[in-house]
Amino acid sequence: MLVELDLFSGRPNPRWRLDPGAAEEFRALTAALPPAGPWAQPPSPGLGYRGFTVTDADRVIHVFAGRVTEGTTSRTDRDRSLEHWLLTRLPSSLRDLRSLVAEALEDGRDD
Amino acid sequence: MLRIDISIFSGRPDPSWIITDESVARSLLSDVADAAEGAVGIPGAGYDGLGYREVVVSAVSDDEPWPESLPRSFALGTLGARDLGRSAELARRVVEGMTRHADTRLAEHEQTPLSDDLRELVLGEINAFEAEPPTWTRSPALPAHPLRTTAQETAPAATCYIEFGQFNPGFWNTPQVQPNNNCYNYARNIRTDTFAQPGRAHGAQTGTMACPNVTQAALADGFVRRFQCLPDSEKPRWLTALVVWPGQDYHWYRFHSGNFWGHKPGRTPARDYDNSGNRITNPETCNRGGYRDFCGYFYAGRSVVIR
Repeated sequence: MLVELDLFSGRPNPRWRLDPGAAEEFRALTAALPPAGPWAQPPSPGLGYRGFTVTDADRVIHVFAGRVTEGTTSRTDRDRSLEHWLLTRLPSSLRDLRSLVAEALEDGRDD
Repeated sequence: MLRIDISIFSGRPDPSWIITDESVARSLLSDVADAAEGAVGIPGAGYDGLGYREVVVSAVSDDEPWPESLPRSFALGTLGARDLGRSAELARRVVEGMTRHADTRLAEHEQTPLSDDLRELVLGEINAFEAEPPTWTRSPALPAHPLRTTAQETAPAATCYIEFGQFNPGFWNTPQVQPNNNCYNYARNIRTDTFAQPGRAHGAQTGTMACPNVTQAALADGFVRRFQCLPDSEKPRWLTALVVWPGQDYHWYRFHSGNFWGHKPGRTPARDYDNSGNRITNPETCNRGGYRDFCGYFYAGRSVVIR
């Protein structure tokens, strides 16, 4: 399972793999989220943090702003727990990004 | 420059190449324009089954000089054209030049290298396609394309001429282009499909995300600072702006006719608005999120090479 942190504009985004145990946990956490009602896609903020993209075989899942979308279906994640969970799985080589993303999540708490 | 894509394979990448020779590109576009009414189709509008489908010719920048009668991406040798015979004739001409344009390396060449065998295969398939066309419906007419204008800008020390291109996000915001081209591609106005990095084409890439370092890398690629005037031979000469998220990343903008700026944040769509949703009229004061350091303005002429 490949995770991409959608953060940069010029440099390639950071990417890393989840180990099988973490991948299984991600699937379970995602499946437990309630389906979202009719909603509009939150606007992309452009520069800066834009969420996570998780590629699981042929599944592509976007996690951003309390929404977890896969194709045309979406789930609600009101407290952005999945984003926080993914942030804790950031590899140690990328640890300097953790506070930047945490700050962005905090700023968007009331979105 | 022109990009050629032969739509023929299903699993492996289709044969693709870049025509960098301006005289070859001009001659081809001129001949196709003369025959546009009968010979040209819209990409993807013709046969879409397995096997040979069409030859697609595209601009590699959103401001390539282009005949009025042609869309900026069009198909030859296609059932989308009214006159398949003429369309196939022009498609064969394009394909015959395949191996002469192998110098510009594309990711597709790893699995689909350009070779004489591949050229003969495609030519044979086009002949068979023309002789016995699959049953299909025909395509509608063609859209137009934007142009650029030249203007002068003056500072106390210099008066320079630059080009203002029209904002054309449709060129960038397609599944083939958007994920593989970033803000640096957008600023230089060239699709490389490599997520281009300042300095990489000239062994001068930097890992230090600070104005002086990224600036030096871009200068190595051929960017020049604003008001270091470029000659007419450097047309189109784009006005660009560089900003930096200290220690993390960099970002570029490009000026457009209409007095606003466009940009493309990473893999996201090209746009003309900032993080507040406002159209960008000043990159120094627009909402740039964490990209707080404004490094300056630069010209990007045609000799700038990025990768």
